[in-house]
Amino acid sequence: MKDAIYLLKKERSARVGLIIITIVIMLGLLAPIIAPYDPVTADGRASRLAPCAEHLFGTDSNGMDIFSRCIYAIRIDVVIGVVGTMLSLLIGIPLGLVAGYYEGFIGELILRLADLLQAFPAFILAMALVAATGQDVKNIIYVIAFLNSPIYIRYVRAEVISLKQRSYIEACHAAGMSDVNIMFRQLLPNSLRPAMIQASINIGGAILLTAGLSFIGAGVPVPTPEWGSMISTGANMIITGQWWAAFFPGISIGITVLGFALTADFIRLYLNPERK
Amino acid sequence: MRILKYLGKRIAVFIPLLFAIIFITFCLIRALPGNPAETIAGPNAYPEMIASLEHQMGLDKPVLEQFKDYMVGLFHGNMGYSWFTSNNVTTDLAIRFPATLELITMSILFAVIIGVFFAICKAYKPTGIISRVATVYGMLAGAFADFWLGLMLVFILFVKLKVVPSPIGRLDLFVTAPQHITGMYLIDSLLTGNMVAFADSFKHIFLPALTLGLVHGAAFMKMTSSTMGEIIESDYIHHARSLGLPKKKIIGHTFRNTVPAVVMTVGSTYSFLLGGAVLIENVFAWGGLGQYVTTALANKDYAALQGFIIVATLFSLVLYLIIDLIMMAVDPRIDY
Amino acid sequence: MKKVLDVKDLHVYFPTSNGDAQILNGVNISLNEREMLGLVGESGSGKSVLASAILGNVKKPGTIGSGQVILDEETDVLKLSEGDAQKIRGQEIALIAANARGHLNPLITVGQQLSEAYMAHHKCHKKEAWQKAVEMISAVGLTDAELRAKAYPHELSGGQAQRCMIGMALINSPHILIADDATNGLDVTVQAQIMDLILEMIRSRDLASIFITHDLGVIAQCCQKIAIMYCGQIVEYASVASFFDNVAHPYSQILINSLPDRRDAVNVEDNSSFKPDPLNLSKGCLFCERCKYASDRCKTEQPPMFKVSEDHEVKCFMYEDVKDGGIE
Repeated sequence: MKDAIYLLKKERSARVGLIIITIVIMLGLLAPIIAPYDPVTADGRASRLAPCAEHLFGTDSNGMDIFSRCIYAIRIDVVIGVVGTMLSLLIGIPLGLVAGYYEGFIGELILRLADLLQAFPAFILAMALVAATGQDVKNIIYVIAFLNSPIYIRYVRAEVISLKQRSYIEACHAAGMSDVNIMFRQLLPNSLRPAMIQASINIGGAILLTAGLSFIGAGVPVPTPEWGSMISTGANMIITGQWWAAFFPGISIGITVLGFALTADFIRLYLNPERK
Repeated sequence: MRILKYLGKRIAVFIPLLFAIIFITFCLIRALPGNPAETIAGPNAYPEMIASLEHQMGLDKPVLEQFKDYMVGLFHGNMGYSWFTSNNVTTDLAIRFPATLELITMSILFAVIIGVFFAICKAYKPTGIISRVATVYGMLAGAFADFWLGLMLVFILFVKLKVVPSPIGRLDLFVTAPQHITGMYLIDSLLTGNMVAFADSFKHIFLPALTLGLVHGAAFMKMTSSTMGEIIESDYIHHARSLGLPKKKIIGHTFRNTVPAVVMTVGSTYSFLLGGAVLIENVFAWGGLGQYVTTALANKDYAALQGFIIVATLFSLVLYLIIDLIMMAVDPRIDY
Repeated sequence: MKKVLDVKDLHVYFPTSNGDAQILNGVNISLNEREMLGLVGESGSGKSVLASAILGNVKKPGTIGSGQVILDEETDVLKLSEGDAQKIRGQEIALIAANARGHLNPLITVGQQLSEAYMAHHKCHKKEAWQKAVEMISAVGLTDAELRAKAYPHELSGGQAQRCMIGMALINSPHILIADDATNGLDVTVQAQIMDLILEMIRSRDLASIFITHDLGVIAQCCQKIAIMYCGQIVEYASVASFFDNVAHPYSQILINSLPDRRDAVNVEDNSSFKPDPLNLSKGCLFCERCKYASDRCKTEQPPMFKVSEDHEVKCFMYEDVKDGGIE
């Protein structure tokens, strides 16, 4: 804990990262209190208004307040990103442990399946899977979890393979520890390190994927406030010089993803035994 | 000789792999919910109409028989008909694949230029302004959505400054496409000396390629920068200096040794962008593979989807092969 | 006798976030024509930094603090512009390092690297340089020189790579050679071969040379002068004969005692767990903490070099009042 605070004081980027995601999460949690308008109510008379006092970020072509929608969208995008990534850790880490520990047929099989999954163009596969399972938040989370799990399978497997050789594992064997015990008590904590760093980065990636899918209409269905679909609605207004409907959701994505990426840096420095 | 043997090995593995992928995709596509016959017939169709359509489309046959028919057709170079565009899938792909390939290639070109430029500045003038800009760029580039960036650039450069043409497609409405040789407008227009088409297609490809170039340039910058850093600190560069080699030669060595890392990044970016360019293609109405697939998915256009998978797989496999060959040429330590 | 190389009071440091780490603290050595100087010191004493510094090519972030490196009694290498310094490196003075494969560019053939070394100092065609490269590869004892020239460093064994390094050092016929731990990491038999090769090259080309090594035995056999280095300073500097006759400095005595078949009468205790901190060097003798004979004076005052005899100097207060007269 002390180390964490020291690191925060020293590295500005880490501070910024944690501040950003704290603010974002707070805004998301407090959305009903902070957002001045209901995110799905359209007011036809108020459509296409530029940013002003009543509408901080302006309104879109349907008359919905962009500021409120941006805030509420946190509840969709960030939740999908975080939960999806956590779930992929839950899938990938045990599989990685098994693949690394039992290097023979099972291990090879898991690895090849992971390869196969990663060989497909990710975005297209995501589109297909969401189309197949139905476009709602739950399914998008599952799809993201599924598509990202190979990354963790690989990381954990690689760490396990290198740690397996160490003498303390042999000692455990000699002491009669069961395989499961060894895998989860000994190997797991040490293999987690690269996985945790990658996870924080992947949360950002998951948010971008969700936004991308929603942008072309293959993700979160329309009236639900989601940054990507908001950009899509806003895109039509760009030609007429009305930039705000697309601009603000995009900035929201950027700031949030940046926050998670910087936090990843912080985790990397914190967990890295060679930090200065 | 060693290269020929290696090629032989690769192709031998490639064919059964391709077959397996086609088969798996075939089955998976048919597992997608929704009945294409229903989609085409429309909401007001009678069951008899749907059944007759299904028969026409061959959907009433068992899956394996459908697969056999498809493979037979494939051997004759026939990838089936798109239920949506009514064209031969092969014809559709012959236009769309080069469109995407051209876009991806230009994007990578921009990404390499941007990334390597910043990396060189960081390596040789680490405290300069450009280096600091580079660091900020590295942080921001991966955080913003590419389609959003494209839209913002359209707003600034087209709507406000009017320096690029309207972001609709690969050419202006009044300019005819150059004669189809490769399907890539820039190359075809150069090959046929059609400078009007060349200028126009360049103007149109500029913005989408720049967008993707900016987004992916950061990866090139980071890879090149860290590799260069290692090389500059290395014992062999230090030794080269103690032998009295002139500065130019040493810089030349540094660049030469960075090439393998750049080639690897080019490979991985190409591979990513095949599917990853979809959104930009959408923003700029590019008429490439990405849009084709999106529409096909929405319309349950089986033949189109299968065609896409075959092309995408072939492309990946050929790409990896080319990258491996280049790597063998460029880094003598590699021996597959 | 001309002094081909004269290093005067050389200081090298590198700046860190906690201050300057002093690596070389006033090194003084010189080399006469055709002379072989053996330089001995433990790891961390600064030997390799000294070798690079003599060429004016200290690896960053190392910086030359002060001092002179006088070549042929006329030029100070450290005061030369980068362009002029580059002309001297490889041409007048050449360096052979340990770990040859690490010092060779992995993506370029050895023949090409030799050619480039040659072309750096001679205006000629690539073909001519290649010829010279092949000749050199043959001269350092590699068979099938033409074929060998087209090999990449990773395709060579450690010994072969080291021979190529020697070739690169000698291809421009320098008159001063510095061999920095040139046999480190090689098999014992190969070590002997490489040693022989280097010595033969030195003799046949009448080179002046500095031999940096851990191996006192080699120095005893081949060198005329010996310098013992500790913590960035030369603590003993003598002709080989005089040195082995009377090992003066306490540190040198420890080194001698480490040789299995050369026990000296003096028995020295070794608190070798102590290493001086380059960021915080004491004002007194740097060897003080490890020295059995340390007195209070040693802790606060740094001894200068005292002459023990005509060709023997020691940096130790014990020798302050020796018959051949006081401070140097």
